[in-house]
Amino acid sequence: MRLLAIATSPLQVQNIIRYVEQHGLDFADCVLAHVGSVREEDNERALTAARTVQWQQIARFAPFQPLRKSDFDKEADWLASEISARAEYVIDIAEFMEPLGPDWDIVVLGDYRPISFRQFLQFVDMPAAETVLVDDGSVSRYIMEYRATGLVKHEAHRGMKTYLGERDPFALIEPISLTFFTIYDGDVAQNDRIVANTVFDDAAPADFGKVAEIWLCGANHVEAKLAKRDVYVKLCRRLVADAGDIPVRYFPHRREDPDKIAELGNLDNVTVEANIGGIEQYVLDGKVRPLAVVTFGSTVADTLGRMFDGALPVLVYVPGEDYFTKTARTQHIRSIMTDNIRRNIGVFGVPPEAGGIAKLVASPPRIPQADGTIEDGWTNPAPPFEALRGLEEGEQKGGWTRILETEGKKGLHRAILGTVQRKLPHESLLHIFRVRVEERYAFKLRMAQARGGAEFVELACDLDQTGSYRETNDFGSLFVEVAVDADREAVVTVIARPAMMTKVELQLIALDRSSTTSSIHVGSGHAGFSIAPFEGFSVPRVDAGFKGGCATLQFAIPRDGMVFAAMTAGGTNRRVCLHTGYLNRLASLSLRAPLLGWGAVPIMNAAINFKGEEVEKLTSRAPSNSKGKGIRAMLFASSPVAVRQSPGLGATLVPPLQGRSVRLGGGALSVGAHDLRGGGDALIAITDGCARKGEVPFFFLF
Amino acid sequence: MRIALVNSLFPPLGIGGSELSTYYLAKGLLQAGHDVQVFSENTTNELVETEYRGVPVMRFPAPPGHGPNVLARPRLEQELRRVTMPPVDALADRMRAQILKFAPDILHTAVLGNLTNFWTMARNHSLTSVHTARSYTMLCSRRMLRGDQPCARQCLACLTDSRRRARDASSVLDGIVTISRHVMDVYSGAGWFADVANRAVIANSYEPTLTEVPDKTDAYDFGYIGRIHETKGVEELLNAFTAVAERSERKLRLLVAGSGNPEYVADLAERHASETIRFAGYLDTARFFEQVRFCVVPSVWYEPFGRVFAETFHHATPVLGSVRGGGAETIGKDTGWLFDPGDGADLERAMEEACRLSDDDYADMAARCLAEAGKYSVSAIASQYESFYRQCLDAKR
Repeated sequence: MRLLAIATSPLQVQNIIRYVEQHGLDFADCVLAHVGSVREEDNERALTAARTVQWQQIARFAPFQPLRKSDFDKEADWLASEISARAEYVIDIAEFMEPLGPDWDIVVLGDYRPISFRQFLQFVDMPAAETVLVDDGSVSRYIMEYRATGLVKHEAHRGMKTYLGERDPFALIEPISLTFFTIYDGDVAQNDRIVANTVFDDAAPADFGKVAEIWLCGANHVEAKLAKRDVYVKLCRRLVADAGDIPVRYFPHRREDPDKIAELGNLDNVTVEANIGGIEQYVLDGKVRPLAVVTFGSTVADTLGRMFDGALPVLVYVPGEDYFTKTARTQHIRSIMTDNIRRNIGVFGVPPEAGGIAKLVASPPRIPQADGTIEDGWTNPAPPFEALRGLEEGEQKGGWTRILETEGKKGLHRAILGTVQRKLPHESLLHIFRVRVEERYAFKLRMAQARGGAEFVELACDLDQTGSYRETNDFGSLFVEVAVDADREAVVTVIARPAMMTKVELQLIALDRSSTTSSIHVGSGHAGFSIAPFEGFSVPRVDAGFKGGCATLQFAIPRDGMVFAAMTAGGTNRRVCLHTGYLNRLASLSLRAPLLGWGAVPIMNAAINFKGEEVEKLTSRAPSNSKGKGIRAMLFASSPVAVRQSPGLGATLVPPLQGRSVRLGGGALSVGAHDLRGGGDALIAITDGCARKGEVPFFFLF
Repeated sequence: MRIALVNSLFPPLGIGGSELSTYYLAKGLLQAGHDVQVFSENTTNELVETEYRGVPVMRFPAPPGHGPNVLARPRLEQELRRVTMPPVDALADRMRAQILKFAPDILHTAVLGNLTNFWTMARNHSLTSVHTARSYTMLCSRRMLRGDQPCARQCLACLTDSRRRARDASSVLDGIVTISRHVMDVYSGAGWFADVANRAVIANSYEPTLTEVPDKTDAYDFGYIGRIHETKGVEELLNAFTAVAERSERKLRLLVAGSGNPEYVADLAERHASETIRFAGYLDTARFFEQVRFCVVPSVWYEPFGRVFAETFHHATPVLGSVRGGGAETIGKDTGWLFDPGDGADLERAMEEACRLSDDDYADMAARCLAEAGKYSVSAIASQYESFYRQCLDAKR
């Protein structure tokens, strides 16, 4: 099997070597074309990594550097010179490729985007060769998505050069099919495929020797002009201070400024571990694991998360916006941080001010491991609607009832979901149902006076778009959360609080399009949607062990939404609604769902607002106030919720802010890992022990 | 009627089914005495006004990166060409003056970009607009497939912001035609064309080549023609054929025509190596059909229509077709069998029933296929469109 590899960075070279080894190929049949970086030290590292194996040949190429238009008086002169420069570059490659011939079995690209890499493909019999892309950072994820859907163009276009027209010597050759040799998973285009790079999955961290250190993985954000040096250094100092007596080992990024590294190396208790072939190799060679790893948003979080497999916390430091410079490219770092946290198991986002890393190390969080399921045993007693106006019932299939508009009827086309009444001062009303949008996808949810009264409060929403909405007027408050699954089927949660203790109707009103301002339109006999009752739930069960009679549960709660957690203790199931400020305006302590037959569901505010401590205010205010463009606005932040256990009372859920505790009962406590409405992760970590009053518990972003 | 047909390309440019269908429709409408003008794009950056086999066509200039991707250039290449060239007007704006000059009674769009601008143009100029949906392109970038698994419904990932806007705008049309009931259902289920009152299912047309049932005495028992891909169900067919052949008292033979990923094809050929199964590679349609008694279309994917179904009828060949997609709507008890491609036993059942057909019954079924083919003739399809255009015009008055 003849293999041609084209790479620049050390990581690309390492991944290509892994590809060859994992596939049992012979390096004697493999040729490496190393396209240099402008940084000679990077080239040396890459070539050092390459020389660890016996290639048939290693060839070096200079990086292609386009000419600057500003250096020319006339654009035509620039164009002619640029074409000439590109032609010379291609000739160099042609001379290299000519004796090797066009017949290759495999071509491996270290990166998808460099235009220089693609010029080698001009001299390869492309249909016959399999084209493979190895990981270089998280680029593979973006390329998978781009090739499958055309989205994330900006990531795929990076590194491309201006197209010079038909005379351009550079060819934009793009492989018809591509094999991703990657640690990531994802949906790929029809002609593409994924071959898993398993190198990190087989690390067996349980056998590694423990070292009592915290590892801090450096980043080149400052050097890339994406972050401010003073803030970066301040964050590192803070980590070292928080670590207390625990030594910190700093692993610099290969492109970090030596002066900055030296400054950090001079801090007490810090050792700089430089000149290694990547932290992953350091782990594999030494077979060691630290107490915790802290990164600044990097592929290292992905790789170490896989290597350590939950054996220790891998943390992504999520700084405030003052960390970033003003350039738009900083969004790339925010995306990496978000992906690090949300797409890995065992990788946690933390704000640097979150309680001190020493505390985390002393009591590391447990990643919830499901052990069976919590079965509620509840069945929905009610049909999906009470009455239809301007609508009629169609066929029923798979639990869904098709609802069609009455032909040609102008007016409100609505389903009365049910009639309910608030009975207690501190309660609000809850209803959950499912909608499958079809011809009708835009709706209004309305809480209206029963028996045709004229008063109402309503809001409009697309029911195939995940989101949350709320509206308040003199008649009352209406909160609606829409969770849409991959098949565009929605679970709709409605929380209604009529101002008076009157009977109200919950109405679902069909609109003819999302941009409409009026609910009144002419009915189409072929247009409609499907509706289904919310069914009983089954969620993965996590057993929450206790040490010292207390534990903290951290939930991933959208800042403009809520989580419904299922908890069971001593055979008694409880449902708890947690939020981080979204429901503040509801001014209620509990929800009651008469249409579902549910009694009181306690509401608990898990917002972060640690009194007396230096913690940035993230979600203590209404969500609309805290929404912004920053990385922290992209992530969910919630305070850990304490569960205290006492011999007499059993387990009690204690709110981090003011509010009532929730008695869960005696016996072993289990918590549902997912939102009981069928959503994704809800419980993200369990930590033994609870913070003392006034003390900041360690907390995560999600 | 004056009818403007708008399609991205028009023969001899373009190689897809939409170009052929537009040509057949234009031909049929001209034969019926209507004034027809085709508006399409060129593959170069120049305006060409010409005739193709009697059909008047204007081919509009295609600036680099903006034209139809006839050479199937990869997405990245197209995009980079586009971003490095000066901006150009949207296609509807570039065609507007010529379309209005033609003053059509009907503006009929098919496969092209920028569709909602054409429909809005029709509304703004009081033209009656009709669109034919021939594929899932407007709903999905992956041909309604996730990996090898077919999507019966548009998924959330494919509901991009631009598609949301287009969905909202799709109800301005006066008439919507889909090439199968399945395609209509998929678009409806995704919220498209919700308030378009005039709707019809009109199949693709095909030009007949046979007038009588050919002799197939030495033909292969079963045949498959098309792309060899996981979603086409070729492996399911090979498995079912092997099982049926083992149970059969006579020697059955299978012809597989078409190409695909060489690795996949080689793997299939190796695993199903048998003197009774022939992988013939590319075969001309006529050559294929003269060699097979039954055509099997085992698509796992939901084919929007599947021209192969019309082709089988035109070649007097009974068909065993997947229940998935639009093709299933063409098959009746007189012309073939339906089966569930996810159920190997069901395909085996259909194949065994086909094998049990006597020579006389086979001849009857082949004759009925040939008769059925008339439904897809150029004149028959043009006539259906003519009626539909009148319906849309009447509704607008």
